[in-house]
Amino acid sequence: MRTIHRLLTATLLTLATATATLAQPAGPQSGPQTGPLRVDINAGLMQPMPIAVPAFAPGNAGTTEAGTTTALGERAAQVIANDLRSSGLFRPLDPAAFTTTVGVDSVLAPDFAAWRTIAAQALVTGTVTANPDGGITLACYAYDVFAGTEIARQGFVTTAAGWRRAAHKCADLVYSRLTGESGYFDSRIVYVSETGPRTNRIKRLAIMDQDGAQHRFLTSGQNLVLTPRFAPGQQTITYMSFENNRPRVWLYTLGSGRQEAVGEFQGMSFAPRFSPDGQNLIFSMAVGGNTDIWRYNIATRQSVRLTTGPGIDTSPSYSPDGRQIVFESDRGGSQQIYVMNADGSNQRRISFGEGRSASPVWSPRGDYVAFTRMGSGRFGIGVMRPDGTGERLLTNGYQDEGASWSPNGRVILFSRSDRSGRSGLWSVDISGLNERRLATPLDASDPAWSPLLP
Amino acid sequence: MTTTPLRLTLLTSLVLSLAACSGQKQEVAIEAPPATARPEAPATTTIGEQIPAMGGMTVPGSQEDLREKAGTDTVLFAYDSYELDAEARGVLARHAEWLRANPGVRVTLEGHCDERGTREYNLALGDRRANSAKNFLAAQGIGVDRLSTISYGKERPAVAGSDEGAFAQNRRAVTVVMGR
Amino acid sequence: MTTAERNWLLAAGVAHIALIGALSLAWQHSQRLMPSPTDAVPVEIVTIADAPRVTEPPKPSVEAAPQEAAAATPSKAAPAPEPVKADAVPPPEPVKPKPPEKPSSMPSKTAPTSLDTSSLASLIDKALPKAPKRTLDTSRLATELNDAAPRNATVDPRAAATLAQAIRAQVAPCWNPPVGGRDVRRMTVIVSVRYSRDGRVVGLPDVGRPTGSTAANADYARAFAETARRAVLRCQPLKLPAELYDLWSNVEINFDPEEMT
Repeated sequence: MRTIHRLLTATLLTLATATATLAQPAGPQSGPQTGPLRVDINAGLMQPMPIAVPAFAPGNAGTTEAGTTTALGERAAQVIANDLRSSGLFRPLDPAAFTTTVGVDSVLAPDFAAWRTIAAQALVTGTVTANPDGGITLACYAYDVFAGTEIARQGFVTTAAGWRRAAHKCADLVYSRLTGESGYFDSRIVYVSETGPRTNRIKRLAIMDQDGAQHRFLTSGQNLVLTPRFAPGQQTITYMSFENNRPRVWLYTLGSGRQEAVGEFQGMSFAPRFSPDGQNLIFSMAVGGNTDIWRYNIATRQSVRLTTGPGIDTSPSYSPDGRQIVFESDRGGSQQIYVMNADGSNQRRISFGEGRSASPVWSPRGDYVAFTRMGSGRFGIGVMRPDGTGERLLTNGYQDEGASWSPNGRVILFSRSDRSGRSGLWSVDISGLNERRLATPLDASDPAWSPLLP
Repeated sequence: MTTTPLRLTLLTSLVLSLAACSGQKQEVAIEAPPATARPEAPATTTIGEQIPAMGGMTVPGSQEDLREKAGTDTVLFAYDSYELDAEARGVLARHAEWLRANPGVRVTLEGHCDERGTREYNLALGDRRANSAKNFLAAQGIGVDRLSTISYGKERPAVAGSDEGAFAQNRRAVTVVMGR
Repeated sequence: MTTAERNWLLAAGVAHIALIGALSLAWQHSQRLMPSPTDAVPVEIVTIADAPRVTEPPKPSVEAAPQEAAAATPSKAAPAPEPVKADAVPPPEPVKPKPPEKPSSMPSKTAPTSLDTSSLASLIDKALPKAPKRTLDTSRLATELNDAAPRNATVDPRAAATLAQAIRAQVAPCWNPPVGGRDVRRMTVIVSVRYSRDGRVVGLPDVGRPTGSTAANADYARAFAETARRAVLRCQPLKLPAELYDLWSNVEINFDPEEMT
């Protein structure tokens, strides 16, 4: 019987071997006879992705009113690298470390091995070509260096003076392709530029690209101006001005510079924002010591009162679908955050954390509300979900307030003041990381981020 | 009649205060706006600054006159409050008296806040403070057609500083004489 | 034939039949979808409504100080695998007698010919061998063989576990998962890699479709999957014992950021 046992064992082993052999999944694994080894990786490193952005090559030897294609290629690469670096998710490598350049002939066939040696994980390159009409075409290509594959390409045609926008669009392409987020670099910021003694600040509306370039002042400083916000179409800004000692809401048309007071209201109107369809304004109106929220149709000039009651109701902000409004009210005794339907119904409180919560603004993605949290003598920027859950404090300064969202709902812009009265613009990623200062010519406050330019 | 040295002193101080006042209106250049800027009426950033008159006598019905007669043109508030305390009511009562003594003079009640609040809320709180003062004066019999209000929120502190002393002075309502 | 011997013979026979039965079961291979390469998009015309004038040279933004979140340290490299006896290596078989000094879950020498499912159970379990099951339970045998077959069909579970640890320690530092994407936190993805004897990746790794990916988060899923592929491509060649090459020539790496969030 022992022999039989041994025979059976041998048979069993053979059959088991056969099982293993035939158990091979169909596909590339055709060599060794074992199944694949299973490995679990549950942790990695959170770090900005090293990326190489060499100067774009000149597609032709042309000159535009913004410079030669060679110069534009260098500047475009710098703009793109700056954008990616500013997001905190990428680390553009120092061009001094590059072992190769990308000429026109290698734009479509990069030397991946050379880029691997400097540990670039992605490569952004392209060309700038001068067009016969005086404009330019910027061709943008992104590559996965270690896989040796192209991951995105797109071309952008624009005027010579618009070369920055083309560069920002390229940066958006790379950013969104590598992170899965939608882009935000091709956008602008409007804010209040401040200067002068604290007791008599000179405030002017100013606008700039989100990277600080192309800065312009929009008003002269003769009148105190506050809280500018973009219309969804971006051609108009709403703000509050003390012109003629009559504080109220105004509209500023960017192309023409035309300024127009909104409505003929009894009291002070302030804290204005546009509705997502651009047809309405919502703002606060203070009459006889009571402040409520109103909606105003720009075309028909009809106004509708949305809140009543003796509390201060202010800082209204629409949800991106236009169906709800988040606002702040002290009707409960202290400043807290409330949400209501766009017609004013169903007003309910959503903030229940410590201290006071104010100045809410709804994310363009609809998933979060950013706000100012005040407590223990400090002001910080926080986020919460529109139902009030998931509250998180992202910053904690002496006076951080005036939050505004990037177009992709990923970055929050805000104003930070210190005890000496100086103020500036800062931004922070929604993860709480990458808090950084935006450069402005003078002090700054009340920032507002535009939607993505089309 | 004043002596010549005194006149000279007063003249000098007049000239100096003129220079100081004009220095407050800063010339700010606009950097190439895209189109012609809408012409804006020159507006002073503070209302009602008036120059003390020559001769050492306060002009009746002026801001200075109000300050002299009532002791101050300003009432203060507690943090995040718009209630008038006893001292404030006393000051405003004297303002009402002065207004009765100067019929036809209109005033604007300015409401102000300290910086320890968000921008928009403070505009609303300043409005509450201004209306507190106005309502008090109206209750004292001053016609509301003579009383207007404006809020500056935290934009125009009286005192620079980020300590409690400065904050307390900035939480205020100011009775500003507008003229007749 | 004694009763005991007959019983063992019966058991062996049943096991044979079950094994053959298992062989004929077709198991589903997980669907592997390689994210399709981006199609070349034709050049797009962008019309700019407002062409702002360049009034001053561009001001570079303040450089962001790259902030690293508390980096999850990769698990410590496993100690060098124990020198495996020569008999453990060649034509690896799913069931093989273990070297005697190892804490054995194998049956005692008195019944070396029986199929001990307890050792199979320990193979399925990626952990080291558990307390042995002494009874022969054939009802689950087919399932266990099914489960065991495409995965750790290795001879020595300790060697397998050690190799897995070594690979994890070497590849994890190259993995930079996307930061902050909401759905991404719950995604996982399996990357199948072929390695040559010198530890280099052969061809391009095959990337599965991430779990938790939907049409709505497809962009995140693709970005997430690519971080996994990149990790594999960056961290090579692997340093692994050549004599165990057959165990690690094909590897499936499951990237799961759950512990990082």
